[in-house]
Order: sequence, then structure tokens, then C-alpha cells
Amino acid sequence: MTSSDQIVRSGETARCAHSNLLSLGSKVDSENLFARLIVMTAQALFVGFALARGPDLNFDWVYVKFYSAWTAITGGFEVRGLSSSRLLYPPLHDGFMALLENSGPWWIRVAVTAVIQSLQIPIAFVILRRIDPQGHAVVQAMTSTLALFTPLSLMQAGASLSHLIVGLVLLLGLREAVRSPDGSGWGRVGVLLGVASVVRLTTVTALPLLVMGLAFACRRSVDLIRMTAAAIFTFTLVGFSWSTFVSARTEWRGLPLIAGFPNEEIGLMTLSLSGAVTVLTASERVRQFTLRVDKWRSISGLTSLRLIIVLAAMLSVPLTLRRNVTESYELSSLNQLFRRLVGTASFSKSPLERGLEYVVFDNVVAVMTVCMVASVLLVSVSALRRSSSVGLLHLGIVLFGTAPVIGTMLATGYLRYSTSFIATAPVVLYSLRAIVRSASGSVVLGRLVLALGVALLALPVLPGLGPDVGIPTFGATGGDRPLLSQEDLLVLNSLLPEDARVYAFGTSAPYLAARLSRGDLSWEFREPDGSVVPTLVRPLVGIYDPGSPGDLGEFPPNGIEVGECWIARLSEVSYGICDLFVMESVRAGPS
Amino acid sequence: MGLTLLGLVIQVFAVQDSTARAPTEIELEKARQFVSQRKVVDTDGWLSVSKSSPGRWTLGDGFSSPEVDGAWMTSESAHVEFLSPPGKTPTSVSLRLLPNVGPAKSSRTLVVYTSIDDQIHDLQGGTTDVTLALDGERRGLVTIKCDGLDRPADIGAGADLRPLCVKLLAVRVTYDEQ
Repeated sequence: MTSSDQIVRSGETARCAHSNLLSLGSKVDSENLFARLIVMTAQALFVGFALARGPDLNFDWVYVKFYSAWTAITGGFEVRGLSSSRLLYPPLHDGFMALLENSGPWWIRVAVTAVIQSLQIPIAFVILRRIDPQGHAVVQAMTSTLALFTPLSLMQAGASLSHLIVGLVLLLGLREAVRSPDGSGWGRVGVLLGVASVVRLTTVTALPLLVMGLAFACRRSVDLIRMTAAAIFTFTLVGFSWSTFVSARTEWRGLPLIAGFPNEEIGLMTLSLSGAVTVLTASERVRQFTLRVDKWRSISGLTSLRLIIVLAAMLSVPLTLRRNVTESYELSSLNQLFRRLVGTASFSKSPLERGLEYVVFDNVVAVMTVCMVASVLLVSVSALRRSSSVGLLHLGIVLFGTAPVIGTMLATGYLRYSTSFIATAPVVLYSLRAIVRSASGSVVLGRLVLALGVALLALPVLPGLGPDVGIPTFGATGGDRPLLSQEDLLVLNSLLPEDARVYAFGTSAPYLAARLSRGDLSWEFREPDGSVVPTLVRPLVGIYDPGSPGDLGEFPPNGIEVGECWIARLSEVSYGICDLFVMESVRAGPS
Repeated sequence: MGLTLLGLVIQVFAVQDSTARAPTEIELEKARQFVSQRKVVDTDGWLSVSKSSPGRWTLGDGFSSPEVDGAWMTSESAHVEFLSPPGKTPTSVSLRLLPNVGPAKSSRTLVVYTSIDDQIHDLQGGTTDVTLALDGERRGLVTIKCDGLDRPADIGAGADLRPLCVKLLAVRVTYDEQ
């Protein structure tokens, strides 16, 4: 072969390789494009699904949270009755929802909420691409849709329940964690964990379990410390800031509810300490020192820290999560726990309590339980045999996603609380696949496990395959129409005289107050205080539920006479509105 | 995230101007008249009291919010209130009722009365029409008293947890031919 032949041959090889690369590149591009299309289509479908279900009238929102959040963000803290229990909850999530509720037609809030919730899908996809860059993008895109397309998530589509938003924030945190296990993003991970806790207070109780998961994904103790400190600092800072704001606007003095501290001193100490640690762990000197500790030969600093965190997380389940127990769902036997962890149904003890829970078919809790048990077993056995190196990153991801689901279910028995964490299911499945592949050395077995998990998750939403159980709406108090139309509001607004003091009974009265948003009205959601009645000079109005007219009987014993009443029978809700008068005998005082 | 925060800030300022305006005395009076006028029954046939029917405005105290087929009586005493159109004299009123009965409560006793008529009915299931004489006044009032309220879940009549008596399905006011 001449040198010119060689040159020609090598040129051909290069062209061939280049052509192969180009075709491979274009294949990857088309794969990625198709994957993105799947993700966007799934998001659009989710938003469409939420809108098709009509207005979000969930119990908590209509009866408590809307009024509470609305009064908080508009600076009125004259909260009485049920809503007053939420005075100290920072209205980060509910305040936003309240703004949307009063910004126009019902579909605005549902659409905006659903769009935000739907971001779970692209974020799950990004994480899957990160932890399995060689994987098929289309398969990953389809799997990532299972972050939301499970009945337990679909039940909350477009709803003001904050579980799916917490899931989104946690996915963002996980994305930061997997983006650079050795990088500098762990402070941001901590902040996101803190934000998740602020968005929904019950997340605080699952925080130790979330940190436990990330402890295995983290490769340096300094990052782990920084993340934990940043999480604690974020939610205590928001908690104290909000309580300070409330104190400034009212006569209330006390501890921020968010942190659950026994006293203010401990709360402030925690805030200062976590802030100081967050700042300190950013300094290069501290980082270098902890890196040296991590490399001690007998037992590294990181391993010790992980051990401490695991122990703390285990202890936290009975110590903290027990606070959230809803009596109706408290576990009474191991058999009951097993049934809850391997399937979903009506978890209440008697049919009379079904109002708090729903009959739904969803495999996600069972799949996550199996994933956690399998991962822990496989990693433990591999570690003992020292036969293969199983990535702790994947164990961390599995624990991050599954431990809070199981921990919350274990401690509260309340299915809804655990739905904040099910968004991680697709990522958990991919991590389990990696663990199985690594432990067994079989790529095929890993793929089989993934396929089985995906099939189980998808089964309930695939038409005609799962049991014939519909997807109910969490806590729905109404039908497919808004509780109050603009015309209804006009009528009701005109029935309430200017500057009136309104004594309101009935579960939907706070909703009316927030929807009207009349600055001149003063609302009380309980019977009048007899001691202040003689001094009342403003026009008095009573609002009651015509279905419970007995509530009107609360007025006469407190010195208030009920005058003429008008009953507004609106299409979705009814209100009785009465003129009230202070009794002459009470006004004059005892003779 | 930044855009969301910006949107929030804008909305908070927008909220300050979004509050509803208080009504004037005239608007208040008009609204009260509007609500009263909705009780006018100007048809001789059965008028549904379901959520989508104008007949729902005849439901007085004691009835919960209307549903797709009628309204449940959720208090031991309830009223049906209506107005006759000018120039018409009402002679009788009929109520179509569906009792809340089940295996553990097979019948429900009602006392139904107007200013000139009163009747006792023992309802045992299915719909029952009850007709009472009226005094011819423009404003009509029917009072229903129930022997008690039961949760359908307790008497084996379904899963409903609300204490219920009877469901009012429709009302018919008969006017003098003249």
C-alpha cells in the first residue's frame, strides 16, 4: 500500500467516522427533541386535566386557608374562629393562592397552579438525564411524566393543597444535589429544603429523613453540614420574620409556630447558630479543615456524620412526626401498617370517616416502599461482600424520595401528607435500577426492574388496565362550578351595609369574607362577646347557613335582637343575612 | 422564581384597589327587594327547587343548599316561603317530598301546616305530594316539622354523613281561576 493509498484510506475512515458521528448526533438530537415534546405534551395534558375538573373548592381552602391567607396578605389580622389557628403560618404558598383566587375567574388560579405543579415533569427529566446520561432520552421523558401522572398527584391537579408544590421544590433540591455532588450547590439544596418546609409546615417534620437521604448523596461532610444548616436557617428565619411582622401588626406576642421551639431563646439560638454555620462553612479554611477530617483512615468524618444523621432521622420519626397524627388514621397494628405500605385505599378505621380520605387505586406508595427496602438490602449486602461498588449517590436518592413517604405514612397514617414526596418516584426507580445493575452486574436485570416499576406506577392511569376506580378530588366541597360567581358577589355585597360589623356562622362564611374583600366590614366568626355588645354602634349584620338556623339563637342571650332576614339561595351556596340590633335593655345597662 | 416574586409584588399592590365598594342605602334597599322578588312563583305547574331552578329561592330556613334534584331539610323545622304575582290569589300549595328512610328507620313523621291548614304525614319511602290550603294572602308560608334527623350512614340509607329529614323536590302553587 502506497502512502497515497494510506492517505486516501485514512481520509475515508475520517469521513466515515465523521458521518457516523453526524448521524449519531442527529439521532441524539431527534431523540432529545422528541423527549422534550413528550415532556411538554405531558405538562399541557396535566394543565388541561386540572382545568377540566373545574374550580378548586377543597375543604381546607374554602373553610380556612383562603380567608386566613387573604387577611394576612392584606394586613388585617382580626381573625376569629378556625382561621385564627393559621395566623402564624407564613403565607408564602396560601398568600399566592389567595391573590390568584381574587384576581379573576376561577380558572386563573387553577391554571397558574397547574402550570407550576407541572414543572415537576421537566425537572424530573433533567435529574434523570443527569443520573443516567447514557440512557434513552425518550424513555426517561416518559418515565418522568410519572412524577405527576399518578392518581394521588392527579387528585391535586390545580388545587391549592401545597403538596405538589413541595414536591416541586424538593425535586429542585434534588436536581441541585445531583448536578454536582462535589460542587458548591449544597447551600442551595439546604435553602430549597427550608423553602419546602415553609411552603408546607408538615414538611419540617420530614426534614431529618430528607437530610438522611442527601447525606448519602453528599461526598463531603462540609457540604452536608452546610446544607443542613442552610435548611434550618431558612425556615427559622422565615418563621421569625413572619412572627415579628404579625407582632408589629397585632398585640400578639410569642413564638413563631413554624419552628415548634419550646421557647423563644432556643429558637433564636437555633437561628443564630444555623446562620453562623451556614456562613462559616462557606469559608475556605473551614472547608479545608473538614476535608482533612473526612480523610481520616480509621473512620472518616463523613461516615461518622452520616451515622449520626441516620440515627437522628430514625429518632425523629416517633419524636416529631407523631405530632401530626390524625386520630382516625393512627396505626393500631403492624398488619395495618403493612396494608398501608403496599396499597392505597380508604385508610380510615370506619366508613363514617371517609370524608377525610378517599378510595383510590395507586401503586406509588407500594412501589416506593419496595424500592427503599430493596435498595437498602442490596447496598448492605454489597458492602458486606465487598464484591461490587454500589454508588451511594443512588442510595441517597432512593432514601431522599422514599423515607419521607414511608416515615410520614408510618407516623400519621394519613395518605395525603405523604404525597408531598411522591414526585420523586421516577428518579427513585432509575436509582434502584442503577443499584440493581451495580449489585448484580446485570444490565438486563436493572432494565427489568425499571420496566416493572414504571409499569406498576403507570397501571392506575392507563385506561382499561387498572381497577375501575376513578380519580376523586381531594376535599371537594362543591361541584364543577365556582362557589360564588361575579353576579352572586354583587348581590351579596349589596346586602351588606357600609361599615357593618358582621357576625358570621357557617362554614363558607370566611370564604365569602375573603371574596368580598370589603375593607369597611369587620368580621367575627363566632357568637358576639356579650361584654362588648352594649358599646356596639356600627350597623350589625348576622350571616348564617339557612340549613342551620339554630345559629341565630346565639344572638339573643348575648343581648342582640335578630331583625329582618333575607335568604340568598345562590346556585352553589346559600346565605341567610339578618339585620341585628343591640337590645334596648342591654344598651341602657342594668337599672 | 424571580418572575413569580415580581408578579406577587405587583399583585399585592393591585390587591389594595381590588376591594369591593360598599353599597349606598339605595343599592342596599334594591338588593333586598331583588332577593324578595325572587320568591315570586308565577307558574301553576310544579316548580323544582334544585340548584339550577329559580324555585330554589322559595326555600326558607331549615333547608341546606339545593342540590341537583332538590334540597334536604337539615333542621327539625323548615319553611317554604313564596310570593304570588300581583292579581293572583293562591288557594293551595303542594310540596313533593322524598323522606330519608332506610332499614333502620322505615318511616318519617312530618307535621306540615300553613296559616289555615295542618296535616300529619307518615312518609315511608318514595316521593309523596302533600297539598295544603292557603289563606289567599300574597305572601305564602309553609312550615314543616320533622320527627328527627338521621344520618343516612346510620340508618343504612347510604354514605351521607349529614343529619337529614326529607328532601323537598318541587313546589306547586295553585291560584284561583279568577
